[in-house]
Amino acid sequence: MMASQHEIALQVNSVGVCYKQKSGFFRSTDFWAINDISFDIMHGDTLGVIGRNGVGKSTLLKVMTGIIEPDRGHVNTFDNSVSLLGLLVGFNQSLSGRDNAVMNAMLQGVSQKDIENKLDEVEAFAELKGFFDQPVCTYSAGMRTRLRFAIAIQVNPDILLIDEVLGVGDAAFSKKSGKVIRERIESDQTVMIVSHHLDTLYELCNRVVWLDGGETRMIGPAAEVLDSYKKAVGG
Amino acid sequence: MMNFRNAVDVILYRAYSEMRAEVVNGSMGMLLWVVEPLLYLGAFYIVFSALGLRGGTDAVPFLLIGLVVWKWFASSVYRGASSIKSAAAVMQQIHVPKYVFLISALLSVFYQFLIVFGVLLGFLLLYGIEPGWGWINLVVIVFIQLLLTVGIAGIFAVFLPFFPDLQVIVSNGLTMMFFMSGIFFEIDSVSEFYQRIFYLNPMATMIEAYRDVFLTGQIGDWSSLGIVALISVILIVMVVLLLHKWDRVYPKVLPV
Repeated sequence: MMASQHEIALQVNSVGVCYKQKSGFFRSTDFWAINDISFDIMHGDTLGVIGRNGVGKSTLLKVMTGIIEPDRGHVNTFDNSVSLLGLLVGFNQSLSGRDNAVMNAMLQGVSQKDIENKLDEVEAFAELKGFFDQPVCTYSAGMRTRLRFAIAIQVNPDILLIDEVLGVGDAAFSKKSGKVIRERIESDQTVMIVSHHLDTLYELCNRVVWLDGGETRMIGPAAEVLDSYKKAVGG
Repeated sequence: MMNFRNAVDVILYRAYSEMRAEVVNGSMGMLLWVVEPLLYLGAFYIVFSALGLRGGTDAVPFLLIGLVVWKWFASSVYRGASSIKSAAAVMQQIHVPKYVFLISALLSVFYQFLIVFGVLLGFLLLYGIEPGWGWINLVVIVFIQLLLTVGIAGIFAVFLPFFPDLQVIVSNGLTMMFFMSGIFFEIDSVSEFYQRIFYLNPMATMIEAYRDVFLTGQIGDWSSLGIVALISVILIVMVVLLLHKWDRVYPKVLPV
């Protein structure tokens, strides 16, 4: 979908998510993983998200992708598709890489026809060297990572969420995969990157949200927010 | 995001590829379908002989029919019940409508059943049982059992993520039902009081219907089958409503 810049692509509005923690039989206490987070993503934005461990970044990603519902506030996607660049989606160990590629891509919203047309591309990118039709349980860890990445980049959402994966695998593949993601980010794609690498965020993002204690602490132009964050955490 | 059309494609692809993996890769899964009924058959033969009981002339087909359709039911309920819980990792990463996990698990078991059911038909023909037009009724019976399977497996699948201990109830419940389903005896041969208890088990009705069709060519008791179908549909409606309600709750309650 083409849309002009400065049009809102996704709106997170006073979102809070509460988990129940079991504290006994039939008893539970509430734990608010995020309290009150608000921000917008504009079309074509590359929005960075920073914050210490445990400020609710994973929970935020789950709410944005519709995996869970917020317990208060709401997320408006304006009918844009949102998905996480997912490297973790499980493989069925007894199925071939080819079957897993089709299944995982379909689970992530790619149509069967589209993924079947792109299987050669997936096979080539993942550098599986003849293992594509073997069960995944025979793969090395590196082969699995490469296959996951090759599948993940076939998913083409309107809004792409990235959680700390700028380059995976060994040095050579890391360079190749990092390049693909950078190309995506630098295109018109609307992206949100969650990362602890401040240098990466300085380089790629135009805006940054700083999360603290389950709330939005600051939002604005990348350099401004990142500078304040650095000062606050003593970097 | 996944739309309905996409979800159906996923279900079909998942079920088919899982079934193929079990059949082609020669894992034990598929072999068990044939071996297990045969082992039971052998065990019952020994027990009955030791007790001095003699089965009728149809004893072997009588037992095999019950064992094969029971195996379908038991595998479906067992696999289906844990289908949502065991998809915990996937659902933490992408939103997938949860019925996808339940239906694809049940469908993959159903495919395997169809293969073994074909083997059973072949065996019955070789055994000398005359096929007839009445066998068409099998389509209806298989369909009703499919509904029953979805309903019962579904109810357990829906609640299991909240109460993991249900898994124990499922396996023990299945064992109990196995002994009370008339697989290795004719329910109509016991007193009326016990008949009433045994027929509370829907699989007793189902197994009897299969036997009626195979051995007499017609369905004896349509009304009981109708009740099983009705209860199954009610269960399925409950499953659909609950899955809709808790679709985005499961990722919160299931451990990563």
